[in-house]
Amino acid sequence: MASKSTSEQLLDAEAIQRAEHLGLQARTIVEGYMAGAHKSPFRGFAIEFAQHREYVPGDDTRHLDWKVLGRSDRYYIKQYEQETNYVAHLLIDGSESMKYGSGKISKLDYVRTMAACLAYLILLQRDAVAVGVFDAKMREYQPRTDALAKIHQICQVLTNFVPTEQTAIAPALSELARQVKRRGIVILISDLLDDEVKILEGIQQLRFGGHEVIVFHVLDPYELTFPFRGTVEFHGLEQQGKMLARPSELRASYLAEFGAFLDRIRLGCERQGCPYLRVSTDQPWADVLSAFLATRLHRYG
Amino acid sequence: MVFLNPLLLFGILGVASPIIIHLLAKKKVKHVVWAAMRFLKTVVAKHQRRLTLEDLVLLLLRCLLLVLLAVALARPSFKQGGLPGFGDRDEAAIIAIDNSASMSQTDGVASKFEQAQKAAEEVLDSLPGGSAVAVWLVSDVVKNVIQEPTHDFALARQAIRGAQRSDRGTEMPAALRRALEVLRQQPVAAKQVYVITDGQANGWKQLAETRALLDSARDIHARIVLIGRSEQHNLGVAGLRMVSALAPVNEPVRFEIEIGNYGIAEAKNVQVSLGIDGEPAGDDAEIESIPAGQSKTIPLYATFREAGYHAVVARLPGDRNPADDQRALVVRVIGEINVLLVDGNPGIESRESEVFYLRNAFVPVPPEQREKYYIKTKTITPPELPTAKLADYEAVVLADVAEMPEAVLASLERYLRAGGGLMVFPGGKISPSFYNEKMFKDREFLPAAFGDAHGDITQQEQFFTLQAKGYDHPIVSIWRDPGAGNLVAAHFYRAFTLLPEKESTRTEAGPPALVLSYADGRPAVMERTWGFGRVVQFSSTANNAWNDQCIRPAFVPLLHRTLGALITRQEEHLNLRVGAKLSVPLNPELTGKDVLVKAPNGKSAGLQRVTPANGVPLLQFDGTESAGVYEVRQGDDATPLLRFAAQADPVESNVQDHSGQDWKTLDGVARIFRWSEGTSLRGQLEKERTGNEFWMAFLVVGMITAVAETTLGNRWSVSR
Repeated sequence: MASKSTSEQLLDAEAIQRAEHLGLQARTIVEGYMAGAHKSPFRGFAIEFAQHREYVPGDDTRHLDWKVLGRSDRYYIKQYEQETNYVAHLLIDGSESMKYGSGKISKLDYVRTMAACLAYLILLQRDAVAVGVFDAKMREYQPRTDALAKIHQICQVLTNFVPTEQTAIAPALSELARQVKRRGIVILISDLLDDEVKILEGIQQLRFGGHEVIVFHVLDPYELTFPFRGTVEFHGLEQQGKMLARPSELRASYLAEFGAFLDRIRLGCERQGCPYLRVSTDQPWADVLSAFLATRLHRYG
Repeated sequence: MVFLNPLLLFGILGVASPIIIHLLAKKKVKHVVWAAMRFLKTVVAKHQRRLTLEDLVLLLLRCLLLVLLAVALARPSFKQGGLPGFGDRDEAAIIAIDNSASMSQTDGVASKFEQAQKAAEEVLDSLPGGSAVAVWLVSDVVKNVIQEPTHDFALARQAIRGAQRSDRGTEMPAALRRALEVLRQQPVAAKQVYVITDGQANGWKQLAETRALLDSARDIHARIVLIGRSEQHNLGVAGLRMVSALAPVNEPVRFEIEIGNYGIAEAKNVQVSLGIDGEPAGDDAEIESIPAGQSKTIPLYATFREAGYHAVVARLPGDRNPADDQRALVVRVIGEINVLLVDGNPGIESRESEVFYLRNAFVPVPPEQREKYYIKTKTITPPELPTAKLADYEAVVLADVAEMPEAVLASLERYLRAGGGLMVFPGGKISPSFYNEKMFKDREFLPAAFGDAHGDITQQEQFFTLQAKGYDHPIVSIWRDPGAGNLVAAHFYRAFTLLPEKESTRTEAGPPALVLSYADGRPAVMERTWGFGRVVQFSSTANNAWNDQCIRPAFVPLLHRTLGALITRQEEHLNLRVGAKLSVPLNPELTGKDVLVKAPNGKSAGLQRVTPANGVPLLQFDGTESAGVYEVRQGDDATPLLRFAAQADPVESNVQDHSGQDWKTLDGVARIFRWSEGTSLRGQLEKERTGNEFWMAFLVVGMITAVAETTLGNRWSVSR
């Protein structure tokens, strides 16, 4: 594994293969449904000029506005409207809580792969994707791109990130809402171990901005089942101290409390029309991608 | 409250185990880095108080469960006047098993003694570990199988199992007194005496005395275990004696057998038989009826074909107290009796001889039959005495012998010591001072001193007679029956006053006994035992010089019975009470040799050496624990040298025990248990010793606690 490239580490062949099939199907369905009927809510690279934006490394130089470069000596990319293309913002929780993993991989590892797969899928569908990794604030950001070749840069961003801070999802969502003026899809991938009210407020803010928000609630199986036995000293990630407990005595209460939290999140998302997908890190990634695309299919019929 | 297994109370320390488990569990803490800490904190914060409370309750239940279990296993019990203090482990006990004859009573399966052995083992089992125990067999004596309390229970058990019943009588207070003395010296706080007995009323007749005895030792706890119920019907041979003066060969000898009815109902058609030397019954009879609590005597006859020692056994049909169903008597059967008559005043004609009437009275048959008659007489004069071999004669008669040299006196002493018989008749020629000094004072042969002679032979109208009634001595007992004639007819004109001394200084000299007295109460005939012999002293002459007794019909039986008394003196040593020591002279040739004594049960009682004592070869034997006939043999000789019999105390035949009311006399000083096989004496004793156990209550509460702990634990773990 060590000899593999970053992208190979993150990309799951089977997942991508299944995702390609569903992605193609989805694309066909989406394109057929949306073409001529509605103005695309997404911004991308199309035939009709829409606006300029500053060049960032990785952008296709074919879209450089040479006129502007000639006049002002500034690099701007011309953006066009295209009815069926969309921009998907993959917003990945990189807080310390994501470091937890009961098995071989942590939630963050799982999410890295998952995000890479989603990005590749989106790019494969010739949609644009932007990737942001946040904790208390946006820590890493890969601007939107529709170039499949950029998947390596996306994977680089995902792999190199090392979590060190506490989660603060709401500010990250607010920041995203402020920065991204054009409507698109915000895919929030997080364990959401934060104040759910603020999370939902952040989502609401994105929704007000016209974004479609998809929430991937990634959890470890142990967080869902709390199977510990004996006496356990829990060391909280994100500077939450430690606690000695006999989990077997607390299991029922914990599961009830945690279940209530999950329900609140789920209900909050559903009330705002956001697809909510709960993902356990012992699930195959392919299933997650299938679920995502199934969600898209369900939404756009 | 005491605990029967106090060591198990250490189990209470087990209450520490839940805490230790908790601490150990803490040491085995797993460390987990956890993301969803917020929810854990919320849960703990929300339930902390309840969790703590539930944990505390569960901890308390678990600790309580362990405490209850430990206490239950320690067998707590409440004492009921039992032992003081907690440290009851060192207990000194004496187990006294009644092995008297009455313990032979059987219920058809086992005798009371066998049951008592089992009861003793149960007592042994009931004793707490660390106790010391002695095992005694008690009857009218105490036989210390294990004298001092020992911690060796195996030895005690062996002693109990190997114990033998005796045919002795019962004397419980003496045994108790001794037990208390031994226990007082034991350096422990808890002292117990267990008496296992049939509770025979005769053996425990001094209940008040027993109470006082036990009351004086309140620190010693007495427990009396009464074995079974007493038999309601019992017939026993209470007595067997030879009535005939002598037992000559081929002559019918009369015996009297006393049969006692010790039951509560009249006994009818009681068959009694008499056998000789283990042979089938020679004579038998039936007693038509014996009222309850009374006895009847019947005569039976036996005829002996050979001289020597023979065992006569009176038997009853077997009943549930076999010990008294037969009684044995050893009789020395005489083939020939030689009597030496020493004539101190031969006179001129034979009729004038001092022994004329004696000679004829001893052999009261026509001259032609004298050779065949079993009594042979030889007459000598005093000067011949020093050369006479006294040992050849069963009896020596001194008739008006004035004085005797010292050598003759020494010879007489040896003769009497070895069992010879001596009759002394006074007369006009005797020297009272010689007799009083040499034969009464010095050697104490005579039972009385010769005092003044009273009466005048010339005044024959002033005679005096013998007593008319009160013939208590065996020699004259036949005259109790009026049909046997009387002794009053004889006229006495002169007689010495006999002056007996109550105290004797020589151990060989027995107490003087009155055989006959004159009507005025003065002694006429006296006797005493001396060594193994006997001396009969008359106060008047043997011929008609001072009386006309010698011409009266009663003179012959009187003389024969007196001769019989002299000869049967040796038989007295051969018929003993059970437990008495046999001491009998044997043939001098056996001196220093070993003889074998065979007990009634057929077992050998061991070799005994014949040892000389004061020149007499004596066989001494003190192992007469069983009633019946013992045989003494030398080597493998078919014919025993000697037979002797041990007879049980007839009191033992009365097996009635005390009523419950009687036993209440001992309330407060002794605990009475009635025990029969099939009931747990051990359980009773343990319960009595320590009161009621209530470990079951602790166990039940413990089980309830366990169920509560399990239920609550499950319920609370689910609810959490």
